[in-house]
Amino acid sequence: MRIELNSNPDEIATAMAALQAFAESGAVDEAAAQAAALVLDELLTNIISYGLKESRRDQIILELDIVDGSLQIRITDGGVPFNPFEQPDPNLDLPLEQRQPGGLGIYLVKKYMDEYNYEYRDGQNIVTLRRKLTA
Amino acid sequence: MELTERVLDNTLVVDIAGSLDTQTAGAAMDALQVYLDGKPDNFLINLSGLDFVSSSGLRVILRAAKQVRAKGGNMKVCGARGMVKEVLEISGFDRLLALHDEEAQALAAF
Repeated sequence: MRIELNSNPDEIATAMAALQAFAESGAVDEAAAQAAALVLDELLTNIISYGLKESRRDQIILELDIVDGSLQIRITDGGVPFNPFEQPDPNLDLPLEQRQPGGLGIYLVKKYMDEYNYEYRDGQNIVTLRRKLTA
Repeated sequence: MELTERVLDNTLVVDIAGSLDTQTAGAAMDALQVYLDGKPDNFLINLSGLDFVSSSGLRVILRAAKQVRAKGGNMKVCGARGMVKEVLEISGFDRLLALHDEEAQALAAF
């Protein structure tokens, strides 16, 4: 499945509906579908809030596929080059007063996916993620 | 996302149900802020009706906890299950906040 999204927070709902339709039509188990919903919320929010703000190329392409027994999610955007997986993991041992919410989203993406990969090619950020499906 | 309020044993209980994500976090924080402005001594967030949380939702819970603590109150969280409980644990919120499975346990712990 391949859909095109505009850089607008309302489009996250469009992506979620597409994911749900894809999950219901195929062999995506509930845990994988929930993990994918989490990942889309985190990554699309980042792209729409930061990556595409200063860019005129505001289209995001979302591709969902089953590859080698895994759910594969690919998100391509023409925003400023940004590798989300380069940022350091949050310090989970800080006391409440010092805890900052930043960084938790990408940390969750890493935890919920079995594979994650970033590349910048032809002016596009390309994030590819895989989560193994239970048979 | 639905947010409702109850008072039990001198504790303000707010139930957050549905999905707490990027699309609903703003409305949830606005609704919670009304209760937080009342400076509750004992504040319990019940998540037993919550099916989904993302980091935007964690941000709401963290902001609420910081505010209650800064005003000298106590905040606890109860009822998280399934994916919501897992996300709270992965994010270290189980070490940060008092998480209880059952509401009665949480109320007794104030």
